[in-house]
Amino acid sequence: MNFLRRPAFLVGLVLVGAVAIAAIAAGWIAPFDPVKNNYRYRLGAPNDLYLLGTDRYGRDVLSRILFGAGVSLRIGLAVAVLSGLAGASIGLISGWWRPADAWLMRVMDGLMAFPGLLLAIALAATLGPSEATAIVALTVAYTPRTARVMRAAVLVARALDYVEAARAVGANTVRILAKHILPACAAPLAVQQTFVFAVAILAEAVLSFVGVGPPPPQPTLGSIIADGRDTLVEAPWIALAPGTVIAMLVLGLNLLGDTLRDALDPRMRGMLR
Amino acid sequence: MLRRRSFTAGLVTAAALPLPAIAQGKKGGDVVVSQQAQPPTLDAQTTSAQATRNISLHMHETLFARDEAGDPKPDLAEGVDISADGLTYKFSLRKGVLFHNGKVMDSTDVKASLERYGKIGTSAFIMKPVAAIETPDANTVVVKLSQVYPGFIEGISSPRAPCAIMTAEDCAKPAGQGGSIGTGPFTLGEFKADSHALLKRFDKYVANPNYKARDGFAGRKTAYFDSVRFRFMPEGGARTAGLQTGELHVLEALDVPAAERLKSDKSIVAYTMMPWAFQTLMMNTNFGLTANVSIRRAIQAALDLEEIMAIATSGLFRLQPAWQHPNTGYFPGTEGLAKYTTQNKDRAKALLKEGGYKGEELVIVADNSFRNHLDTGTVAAEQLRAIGMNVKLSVMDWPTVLNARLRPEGWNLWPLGMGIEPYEGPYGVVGFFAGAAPVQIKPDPVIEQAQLQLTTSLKLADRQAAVKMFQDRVYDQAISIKCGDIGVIQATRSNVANYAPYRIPRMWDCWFA
Repeated sequence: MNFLRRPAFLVGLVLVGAVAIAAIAAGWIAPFDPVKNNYRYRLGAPNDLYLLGTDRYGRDVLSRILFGAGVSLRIGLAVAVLSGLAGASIGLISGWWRPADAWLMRVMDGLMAFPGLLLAIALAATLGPSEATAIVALTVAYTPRTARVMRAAVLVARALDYVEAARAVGANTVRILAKHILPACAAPLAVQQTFVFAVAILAEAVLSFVGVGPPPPQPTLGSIIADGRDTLVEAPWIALAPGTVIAMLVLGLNLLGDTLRDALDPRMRGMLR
Repeated sequence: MLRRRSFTAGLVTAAALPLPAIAQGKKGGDVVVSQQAQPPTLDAQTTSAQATRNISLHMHETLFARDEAGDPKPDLAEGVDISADGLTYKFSLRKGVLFHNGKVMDSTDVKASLERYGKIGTSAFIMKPVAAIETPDANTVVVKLSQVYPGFIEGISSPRAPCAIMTAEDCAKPAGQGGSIGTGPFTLGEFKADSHALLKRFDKYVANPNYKARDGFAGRKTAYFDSVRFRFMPEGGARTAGLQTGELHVLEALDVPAAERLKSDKSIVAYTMMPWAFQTLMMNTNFGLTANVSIRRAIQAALDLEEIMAIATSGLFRLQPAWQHPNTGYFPGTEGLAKYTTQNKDRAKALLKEGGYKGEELVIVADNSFRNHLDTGTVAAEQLRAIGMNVKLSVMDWPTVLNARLRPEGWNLWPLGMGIEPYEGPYGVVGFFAGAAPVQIKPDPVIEQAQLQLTTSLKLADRQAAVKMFQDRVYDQAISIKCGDIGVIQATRSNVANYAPYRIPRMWDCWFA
């Protein structure tokens, strides 16, 4: 499977890569300090000094987006990794040790009964707004889905002939899980976490938009949009530019996830060319 | 009884005279007013929410009400005779005033309303000095005080949480459930949570014959619109769009950038009110860094108030340091205040050193429900970081912040817009820093003394001196920061004739052209 030949993969890679590189290099390429106010130049339209204009505080929107994208990517990645670890562990236990299954899955069902975003907002509001809080809240909200995916994969894998064979020759549980089950489940887990990455970026923007993300003046894509909401007509550039970046990131990650799923799903393999 | 001070209608008609000649109004039409928040209740006595006041002051009236300049004038009362010792207030009531249920208002209703306010009113403290309320006849109410309280008429005339006159039956209802029947020019049609409140013109309304025209919340009120619909719309952009399309006729507040944009729109009229509110930064003198007067003075010196105000108000502000509005009776002047309000970073750093600052955390609690609060907190945080302070800006929703700042510990600075208190006069402002629960948490002996003098002295000059004493103390000890005055823009469609901006969008004495 050659990913690079797939246009969807290439587009996704370019979108996510461009934003990621810009965000990582923000400290060098941002033209201004993202939290520096200049009240004499509030709501300034884009010009050759402020390429994307200024906000209500007179802060440079481009600089804020560069730093804000970093925060969004950081939170998205952390949530994808942490909910991956937590979800994989719960799914593994649940799928392998059957007595634990009913208990763990009922807890997951309980968490899934709340819409993920609502749960995250409630958690973030309770814990107090910060970047760490956003990560914890979104991890709790997205772990159940990952756990379900992992559990299903484990249930399939444990019935595979080579797993049965390993058992028959007396391999211990740790060895079976590490050598046979985990590799068999890696593909669906990777696909799922790519989507969690995308959803978490979007969810972080929502948390920041409703005011329970990282506190001001730290820029995040969602908080920049929230700043621009009141002046959507008078200064559309404030909300439009970070909105575009979020769209790029989420679209890019979904394209990557889709390609990954197509490539890793054996039933889809014949359809790929 | 000696007539020491008499607030009578005869005296005040003169104040109503300078108003422009009254154009002939036209009855009819359904006007739609939009406001940001939904009222927590329509029980006027039991909340100080602006969202309730906007609506309830169309339905309810008070014995005395504030005029255009904010001074108390008789409304449901004909006047009051105050005894020389300041302990007896004899109110004569207007005759023949009708409640919305058709009942004639009499002294038992007034007595019951005042008593209810003393029990469950939001500013129940104004009834605390009341020893007895007597009703010698149907049109006379005598209030006897146990101690001198010169702010009594100011208190019962305040629109903050109005001491609304309700029927005696309605007064028996618990907090939050009374208040559907009043004497005002509009009567309650329908209240739908999260959507709207619909008021209908009360055709049997008995207007005050002692005036010629509308005058603040007092005066002669005439309802022209058939109905007034108050719509609750949290989004500023949606409200502006509604006004542009004509779906809404009146806005309690139009965002400043939107007002700039709509300047040339002939179908919209914007009315700027300055001052509308104080922007303040309250300090906790009981906790951590701000318990130290040198640190508080360092904060005072570090702040660039112009930057704070420009951002927090989108440019609609004035730098006015006094703790009362200019051109009001208790204005203490601004002499000698410049040294406190001018930014001086070097002095701020020196004061930090003097206060022994070693990088401890300064906590600012701000809410994200009101832009001016969040902006003030955010900008102040940056300015304090610039002199080397370790600032934590904690942003929460408004109810959480209100709760957090009541705690004696855990917060240092709290940005607050004070709208109705300075409008009320000195009592709400000085009282905010005094008494059982002062905003700065730790009672200040000089402010307590000022409060005592303000609330018990029968001489106006003494009370004015008390306000000056309060202001000097707040600046000298850096107990709180007054950043400046905020303005507000009310707006109507251009076909709403004879509208005049005020503390609420008044829908009497205006009509569709």
